[in-house]
Amino acid sequence: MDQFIADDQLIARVAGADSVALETLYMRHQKRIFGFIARIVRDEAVAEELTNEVFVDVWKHAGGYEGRSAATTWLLSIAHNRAISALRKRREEPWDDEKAVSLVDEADNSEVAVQKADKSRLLRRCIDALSTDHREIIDLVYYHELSVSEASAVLGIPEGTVKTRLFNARKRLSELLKNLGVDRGWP
Amino acid sequence: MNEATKREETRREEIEKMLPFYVTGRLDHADAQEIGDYLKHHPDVANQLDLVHAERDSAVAANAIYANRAVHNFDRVAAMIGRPAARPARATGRRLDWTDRIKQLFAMPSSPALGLLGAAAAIVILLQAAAIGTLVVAHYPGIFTGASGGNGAVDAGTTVFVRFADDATTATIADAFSGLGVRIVDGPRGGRLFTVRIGPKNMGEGERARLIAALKARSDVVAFVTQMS
Repeated sequence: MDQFIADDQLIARVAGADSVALETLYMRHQKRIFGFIARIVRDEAVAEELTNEVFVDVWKHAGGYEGRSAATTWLLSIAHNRAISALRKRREEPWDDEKAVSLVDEADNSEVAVQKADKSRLLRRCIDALSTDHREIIDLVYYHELSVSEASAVLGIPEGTVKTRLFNARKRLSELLKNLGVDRGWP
Repeated sequence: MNEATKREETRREEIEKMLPFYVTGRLDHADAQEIGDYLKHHPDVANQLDLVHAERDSAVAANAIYANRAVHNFDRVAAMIGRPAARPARATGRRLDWTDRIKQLFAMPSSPALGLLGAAAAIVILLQAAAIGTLVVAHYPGIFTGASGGNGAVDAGTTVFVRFADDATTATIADAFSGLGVRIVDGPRGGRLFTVRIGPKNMGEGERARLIAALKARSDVVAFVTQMS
């Protein structure tokens, strides 16, 4: 297998039942997919199994890939659907804001928290305490560096909703930080 | 509130919504230009860029905990699709030395880091990747430390995640790293992160803080540093 072959071509080969092409795609993308899923389901064992299922989905549906979005975007969209579906099957409520606030507040009171950790560490904790929807859009935009249209494709929501969801997630971060005694001065 | 004020507030919110994409460079040229122009005339909004940068860095750090997870075994997937793992050439024989793997990653034009970037940014990263992945390994072996095997696991030691400045060169990286006695041990991961070993596992907090500060001080080379949790 030519290791420099483009993802699109690999997917085309997978559509032709080429399992070597699938393995190459797997080697290339599984860490990103695993990390993305793990951030949603918060369980590494589940994330590993779901990552495998994503590539099984690729095997089954590669023929439907039309190349209108980047292969990574397509893979992340499959991963998103798998992860959200798994959350629903577990019958667990998505990470709600109230729970997030209580967790953050339980960890430290504001003065102690500010003394113990710098703002970036607090910000990281607040990102982790966001709702699933908010955390996911933060990860997709800041870590996976998706554009508006790519995030829209991954999440299956309109582009305007992508922008609004991210905007609301950022405002929520400010609220959580404020609860910890850190006023960002925005919004 | 009059119509003009309403329009201005709406406009401001639209700009604010686009700031994260402006910072990550994922806007098309026209949109980026438009936002850049707006920020020039609205310093209060421009001040928010610091917040967005902080959010991005923290999001990268939050995701970084998964960046060093070992490569999973394809056998499970192969079994699920009813095909034995084919074992392409690179998966047989000796385990890949990490420098082989890093060069493969760099060389792949569709590697995740590149696949998610706009064309201009991709060129920058590709050039950076080529420089680091090929030239550095060949000509600056002292920058690298072989990690424990080829699966991306990092050898015992204190490590941090580093993202290099877009205009970092092989020579400046070599200069910075040799002076500090730190080594790249893995990368790149999502978010264009490299794992850098800064010392032994039991290094003191003071020394660790000193080295991290020294890395951050080399802003010509290092764009971002975060400790691995």
